[in-house]
Amino acid sequence: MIEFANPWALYAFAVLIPVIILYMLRPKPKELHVPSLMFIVGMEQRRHFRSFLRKIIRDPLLILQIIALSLLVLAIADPFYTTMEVKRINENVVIVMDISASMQAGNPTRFEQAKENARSIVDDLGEGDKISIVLAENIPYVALKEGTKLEANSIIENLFPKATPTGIGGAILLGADLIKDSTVEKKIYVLSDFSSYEGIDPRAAQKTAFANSISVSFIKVGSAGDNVGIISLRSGRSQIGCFIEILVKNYASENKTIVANLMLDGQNVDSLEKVVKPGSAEVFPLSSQCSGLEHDAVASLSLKDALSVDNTAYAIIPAIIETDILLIRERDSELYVKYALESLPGVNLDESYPPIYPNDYSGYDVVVFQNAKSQNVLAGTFPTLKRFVERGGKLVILGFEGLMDVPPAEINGILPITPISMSSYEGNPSRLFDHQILKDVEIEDVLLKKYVYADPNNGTITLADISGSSIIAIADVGMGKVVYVGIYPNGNWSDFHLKPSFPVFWNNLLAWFNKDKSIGESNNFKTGDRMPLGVNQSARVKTPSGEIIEGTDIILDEVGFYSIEGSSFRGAASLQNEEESDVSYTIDVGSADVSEGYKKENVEEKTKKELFIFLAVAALVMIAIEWFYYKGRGSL
Amino acid sequence: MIDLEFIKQLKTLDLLAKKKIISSYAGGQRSLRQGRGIEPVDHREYFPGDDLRFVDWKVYGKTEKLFVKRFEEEKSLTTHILVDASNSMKFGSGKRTKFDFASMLALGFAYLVTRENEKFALSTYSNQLKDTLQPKRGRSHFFKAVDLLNSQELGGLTNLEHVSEKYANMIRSRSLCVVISDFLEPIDSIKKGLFRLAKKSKNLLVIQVLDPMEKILNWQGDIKLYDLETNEVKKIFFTPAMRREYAVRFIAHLERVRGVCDDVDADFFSTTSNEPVFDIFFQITHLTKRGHAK
Repeated sequence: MIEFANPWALYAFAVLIPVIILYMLRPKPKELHVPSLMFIVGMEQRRHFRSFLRKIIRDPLLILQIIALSLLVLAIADPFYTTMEVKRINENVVIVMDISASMQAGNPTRFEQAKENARSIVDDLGEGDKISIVLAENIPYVALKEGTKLEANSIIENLFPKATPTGIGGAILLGADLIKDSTVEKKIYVLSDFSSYEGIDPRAAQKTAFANSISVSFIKVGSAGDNVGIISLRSGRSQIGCFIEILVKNYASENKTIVANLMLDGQNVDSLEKVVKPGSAEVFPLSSQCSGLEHDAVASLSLKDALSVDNTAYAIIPAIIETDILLIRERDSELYVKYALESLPGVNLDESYPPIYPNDYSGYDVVVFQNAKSQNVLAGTFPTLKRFVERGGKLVILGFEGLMDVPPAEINGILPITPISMSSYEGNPSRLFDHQILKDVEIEDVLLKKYVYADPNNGTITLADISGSSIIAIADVGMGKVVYVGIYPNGNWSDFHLKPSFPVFWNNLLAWFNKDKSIGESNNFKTGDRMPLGVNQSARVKTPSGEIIEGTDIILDEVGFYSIEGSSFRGAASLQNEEESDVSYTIDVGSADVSEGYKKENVEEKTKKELFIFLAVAALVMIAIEWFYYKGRGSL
Repeated sequence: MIDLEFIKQLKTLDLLAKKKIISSYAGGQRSLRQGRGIEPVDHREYFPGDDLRFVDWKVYGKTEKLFVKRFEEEKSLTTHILVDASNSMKFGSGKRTKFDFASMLALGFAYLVTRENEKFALSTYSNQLKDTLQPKRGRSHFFKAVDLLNSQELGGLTNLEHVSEKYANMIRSRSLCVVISDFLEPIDSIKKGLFRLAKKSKNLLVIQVLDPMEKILNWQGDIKLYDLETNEVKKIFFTPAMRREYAVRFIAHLERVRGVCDDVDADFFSTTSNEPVFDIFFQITHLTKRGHAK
């Protein structure tokens, strides 16, 4: 609807009346006789087009003047109209992109849909707006801080989903932290499938951001899909060789017949078929004979489902580490420790029977002092062992009865504990630390009937105790380690030696001793874990995709095998995440706040559009045309 | 109307000048053409078929050989004057029309020819021959010409091509042909007419008479134009730009007429009716032929 700022100016249209009257009162043409019209007739033929127009527009000059005057009058009346226009406010926007494993689901993938939405968000922003991009892995990080549209589009274009869990809440808080001090409109768009999250609850993060005047929009991408995935993995060596045990869960609503295959160093070595019920998980044990060298094991499921990244699990079965062990025990003593050690791979076991002791222990990696009668404990036995440990040797001392009789001077500085007395108080030990030595060892189930009551020395770490007495304790002595095991393998003392945990305990103990031979505790990881590097130690790590990453803190965000340049250590990472594999599930982030895909929210406001300039310019153009017309016919 | 003052002025032209004028067209030098005449030039031996009347019997008596006399051809000159009497010649923005001016020029030539006791013929034409005085000499013939031009009714279109076709038959001997017109007709007609007249006459003099107004068309604004010849009516808003274009087209036509005259070896002279007629006549007679045509 056109309105006028100066409507009174419209009265000026009356000026057109005298103009028209003036034109109507034009004098009759002069009548003249000429000898010949031959030259004028010729001229008229050439101007036929103009005269044709003239027939249509009887007097172009009159029309030009009427138009020019009308435009001038309208311009003075200052017409305008109002329209609803999108309000543009400068914004500081953070796009939180979920790049977790579940975003690989679907075709096109959820991640592609998220990128499409992210591009739309960026496209709708103005040139003056600032854009940040936060990537929500399990540990979120900033890919772009307050960049331009061009930079944002470039980064979005080069993003790829990872195989990690997602930390949406942490990413929202990180994004909020980036823009909280901005003075313009602050917005966070979260692009995710919302299948799972780790760490901070996204709703809580949203409220925290809101407290900083930051609006958080959850934009859901992708749709539910059927999936079957490996949610857990265990690998290692058994009596028959190498094994990998995978736990496969069926998220679909129907039975799935699943074939699991094991590849060892690229060769198919085992296969197993099972039916997995909907919502259930089944263990697929796969194994094969293998050498004592390091092996790459890959367990894969033969199927096509919504998410492929969880259909394969990777494991490194480490090489057997040769360990030379000397077991010192009375000849007629219990054989449980001997058998446990002998059962471990890579163990070369020698025995020594007190009072005979080797003069030099340097040929051994580990010395296990099971027991010795009081009279067989010779002076200098423990100081010799102390020197062995101080040079880097490992010593395990069991809490045997004769220990109470060893002069304190003899054992001073070598034992992690100080024996106090013999105790016959029955009970179960308590685990004080989740130490590697006690991993998978059900120490709490062990029944202790008799033991040496011992106090821990300074610098000693007690891993398990009973009634305040250290039962399992460790200590560093010089460059070596000493482990005190206060559970003696005798039926009158305990039942530990009869438990399945007993060989596991010795295995863990040796693994802990041998961990110095590698830089990590284990070779196998879940995606999202950190590569085990030394503190502040930078390394160049080759990822499964072939990329070389250098840093002190490297997150394993791809599934597959990793290697460190200049080191023999290798690692394997698999998803093993029950929540990420469940692509049909959506976490509750408040349905009202979640939109399906990005939709631009336009705030419209009334805008006054003035027409003065256009009319004034048009009037000037008309006057110019009139001038040219006059000039053209030679009147000027 | 013919201005008698002009006739008086013609008398002031001295004899030498008159002779010069006429000789520039009639010769003034001996003709190399041999034929019938009065003055014998030489003799040659008789050949069968020669006219026996030209045998010189006196020479035969002395030499007993037949010789015939050879004579210089007679030098009499007839002047043919053609005056355009179409409607377009009625036009005159001043005190006289183009036809008045053209008539005085025609009488000027007739007067001089009469003073030389030569023959002249006078015809008026439009798209056809209108009135014609046959070639004769003498004062009474001159006055007939004055009467004819004074009483001439103007009318009709101009068509020199058609008129020349008719008039060319009247030109029998070596002659001077003078055509006086505004030449406001298609160039093709002018070209064919002048070609025909030039072919029949020994000399052709072309005089264009225009009105100063029609050269400039000094008008502007809404005008209703009437064509004097065709009675065609044109309503037009006449602008200076159109005037300039008209002038260009007018001059182009004039130049084409001049080009035709050059092609037929005719003298061309263009004048306007507001000029002093005696001065113009004097210029024509002194500058044309070996001189410089305007």
